[in-house]
Amino acid sequence: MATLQQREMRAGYLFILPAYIIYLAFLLLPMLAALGLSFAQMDRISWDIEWVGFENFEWILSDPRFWKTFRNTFYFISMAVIGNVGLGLLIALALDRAIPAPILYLLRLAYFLPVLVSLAFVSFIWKFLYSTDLGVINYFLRQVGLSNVPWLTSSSMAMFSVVIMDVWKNMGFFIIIFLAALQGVPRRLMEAASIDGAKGWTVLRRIKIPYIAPVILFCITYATIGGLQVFDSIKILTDGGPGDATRSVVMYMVSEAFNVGDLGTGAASAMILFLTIGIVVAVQFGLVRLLSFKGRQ
Amino acid sequence: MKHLLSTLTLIAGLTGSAAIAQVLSDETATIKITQWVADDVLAATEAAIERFAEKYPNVTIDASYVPVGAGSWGEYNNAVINEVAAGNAPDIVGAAIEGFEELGATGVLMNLEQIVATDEDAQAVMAGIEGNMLDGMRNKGTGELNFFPTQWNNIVMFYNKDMFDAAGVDYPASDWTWDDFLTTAQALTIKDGSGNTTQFGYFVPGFNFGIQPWFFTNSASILDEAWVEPTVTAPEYGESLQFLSDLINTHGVAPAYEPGVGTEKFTAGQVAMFSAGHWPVPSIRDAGMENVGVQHMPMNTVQTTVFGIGGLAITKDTQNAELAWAFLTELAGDEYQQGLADGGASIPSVRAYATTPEYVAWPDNSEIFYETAATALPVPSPSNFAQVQEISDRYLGTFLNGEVSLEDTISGMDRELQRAMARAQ
Amino acid sequence: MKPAVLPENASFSHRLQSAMRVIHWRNWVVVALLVLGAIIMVLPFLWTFSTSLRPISEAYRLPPSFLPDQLDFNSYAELRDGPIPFLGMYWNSFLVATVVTVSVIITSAMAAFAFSRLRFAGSNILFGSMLAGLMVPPALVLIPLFFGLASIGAIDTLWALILPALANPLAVLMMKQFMQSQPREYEESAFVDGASYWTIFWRISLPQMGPPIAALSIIVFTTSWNNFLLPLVFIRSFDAMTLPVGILSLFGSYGPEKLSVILAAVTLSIMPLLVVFLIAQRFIVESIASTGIKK
Repeated sequence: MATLQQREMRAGYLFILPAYIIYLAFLLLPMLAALGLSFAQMDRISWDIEWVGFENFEWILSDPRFWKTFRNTFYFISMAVIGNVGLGLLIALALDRAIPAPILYLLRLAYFLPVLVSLAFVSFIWKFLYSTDLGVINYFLRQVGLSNVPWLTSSSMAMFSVVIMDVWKNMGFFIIIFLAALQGVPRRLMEAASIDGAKGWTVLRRIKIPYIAPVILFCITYATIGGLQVFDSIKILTDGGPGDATRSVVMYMVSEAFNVGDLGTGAASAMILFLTIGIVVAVQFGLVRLLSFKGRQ
Repeated sequence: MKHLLSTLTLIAGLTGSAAIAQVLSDETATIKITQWVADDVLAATEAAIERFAEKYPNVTIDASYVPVGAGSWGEYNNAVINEVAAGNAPDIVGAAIEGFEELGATGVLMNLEQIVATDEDAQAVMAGIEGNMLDGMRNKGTGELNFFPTQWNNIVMFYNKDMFDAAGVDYPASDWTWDDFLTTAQALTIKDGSGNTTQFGYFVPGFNFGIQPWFFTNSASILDEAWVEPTVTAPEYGESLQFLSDLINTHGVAPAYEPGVGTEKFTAGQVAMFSAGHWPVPSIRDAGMENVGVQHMPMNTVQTTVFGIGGLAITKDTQNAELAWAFLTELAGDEYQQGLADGGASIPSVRAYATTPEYVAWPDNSEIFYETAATALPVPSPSNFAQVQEISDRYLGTFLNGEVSLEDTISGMDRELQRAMARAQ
Repeated sequence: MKPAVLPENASFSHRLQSAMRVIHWRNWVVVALLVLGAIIMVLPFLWTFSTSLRPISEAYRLPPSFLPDQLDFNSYAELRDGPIPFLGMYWNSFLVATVVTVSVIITSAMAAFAFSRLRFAGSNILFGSMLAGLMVPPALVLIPLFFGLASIGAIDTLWALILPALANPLAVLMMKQFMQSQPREYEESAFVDGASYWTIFWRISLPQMGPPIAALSIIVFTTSWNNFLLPLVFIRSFDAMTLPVGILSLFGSYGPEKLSVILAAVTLSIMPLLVVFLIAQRFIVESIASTGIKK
């Protein structure tokens, strides 16, 4: 007869079995395979593999285009995270007040709607809206007397345009998260503060923000990880162009692997991306530990 | 050995087969065919499947279509190669010339030479095709005939006759030059009171196939004739680029460069002229535009244009070589050619079908479509076409929007193309 | 500003007046700005919908319409009758999304049960390793997945879309966080009464998981429905294609000549997600509240 403890252990393993096996098969193992592949060259047709050591990494790290995509991706993140999390927070704070329920419902729907729709679809739509001479946005700009803005045809504007679409698309997600977090702030604290005569700003700074700080951090991390992997929207909006102005690391990776047919290089660039994500996340967590530690002092 | 056997069986089976429309075989099999997405391809394949089913009632045709998206043949080639890589190689592969070298180089396609030599009907089809185009079918590397010709397309200049009439401009002559073209485009560009352009003269082609004539008519090209050496450093190449850039940035007769063909801009009345092959004709007709004409592309040093030809290949590993060939000929035969002519999107490769009165009735001057076949040059299609196209698209994008200088563009293109072509050897 | 407490049978106008008194003028300004923002958010959708109702050749004409100025349903008819099996792809998307959602919820709930309620050696390490999966870009595993799926013959079938999507560390995380915040009394008393682990899980723990289940349903369903990269690389034939790549096929080989048809397809694709959201949106807010704050 198994002891209670043994029964519990066995149950534990059995319960995580389905999820873990799938995780092993479709995430962990492919990851390790990709790691291996990054040190090799593989022919797509014949499935022949040839070990080449660090050659793939050398090729990538010496390719100025790879560094350009790296810079592009970080440029994208810096704007997109601030836009998504920042605007999301602002709007959530704005929404967190006594608004008649039907209006609140509609507002939430309107801001969340873009989140629901496929990125591929909205990218098609925004591409038409953004067309420089024949697009919808510029049409209205011309009507009010302004001149055409080269949304997608100018290297300096293009990434900015991509970010605008990204924020439009994803802001709602963060709004909902922040709204929920704000609704969790105990009313007692708020009432106590208002009795003490605290105004809106102070309440905001001293109570609400610190209370939802962990959520803010979670959002920043989540947005960063997502931003580092951006692919769909840019692929459809600009296909990395003009030139390489908006090309992201993942686009470079897909292009190397599937266009050029160089799977090893593709895998190597993906590995570098993975390492980058790990470093960025670690840095963010480290910063948090540092800040909360100091806060406690 | 297996491949040799299947080829021999195929030839043996063909000698002495009569092409009568009755049930020819009771065999049960499935034939997989992969082609690209296009209305005419879909319609023609469906029709061919029906005809084929009468002769071979127990054979299932499993047809799949790959989305190509704005003429990106590089991606189509990739999709086919991925299919092969995944072990799902189709029996029949459709491709455009941009894929002949790339797909031929994989070594998975059969050499159709001997088969054609024994099939009279196939020979008749090929005899009806312009010799210049047939030369483009053979693989430059191996000399094999991997693809059997089906349809082709070129680039001509479409123009909106109503707009020409309104501006009092003569319709383009067949030997018009770049200068004539510029003057015409300027006359057709209309601005409103506040200086905004409401009508552009021309849409600079934002796709690889469409932009080639602008090099060819100046005796320039991105690669040499053998499709091995980059030739972008030739002064004529830069001259062409500069001319196109000036259209947009100096003369303002064309809108900002963006990827695409521009058909929708033409049908919406936003541009007076645009460059395309025969494929937009159905859309233009459906849009209700009647007064449309076509003309040869304007020339600078030589009158020519680009052509691309489509074909069907059979993979070596197919289990049903005979049936695959039978379906292929069904797909490329007379009824198919007629279907192409009726559909109007591609040009039938056999001259007879492309020169009937119905076919050349509209748009105005449609005789020139098949006329160009004798002098057109094939679109440069090396075995690493996907990569070359990507490099070209990138550099054109930043040059035509005025951001990078001509010298930098040329030197950058040359450097990357050299690297890519070397890698491909 | 405490809302005044009204008697039960207060008249409508009384309530309205009371509600309006609550809203300070500053709130009105904020609300107005929010509404303006909301309109901007929704404009692209209005354009999509109205343009899909234009005749096919008119779609590109400027000025654009945000409210339907014509009611030409040809584009929708073309979708139904056209050569591309749009309806079939609709069904594929639905099938894949449903199977994935149900499977993910069950497997992640089971795992969450184990991680939060049961003690077993190495549970922390196993959980941590799953979390690491959150950082893996799908693009990284794309290539090995392609060959792995190819070797089992799954490429170009719906399995290629279902199987990889079943690995969802976020789901496990959300479920575990929520479960941990729930009281254990019912489970413990059931255990004392001699119920098996499975019975406890199925009868007691799972029913309490309403909010995260609803939230995950939306997130997983929507992500699966909208997935573009996987079908693009793994699927070739129309039979197994899903909506996003299917719409790409509508572009034809030479560009978006039939804009209104494409937009009609997009409009139709949004509909199911809208329905799913409208039904379950309140659960999202509740559920994320419990996971977010705990962090």
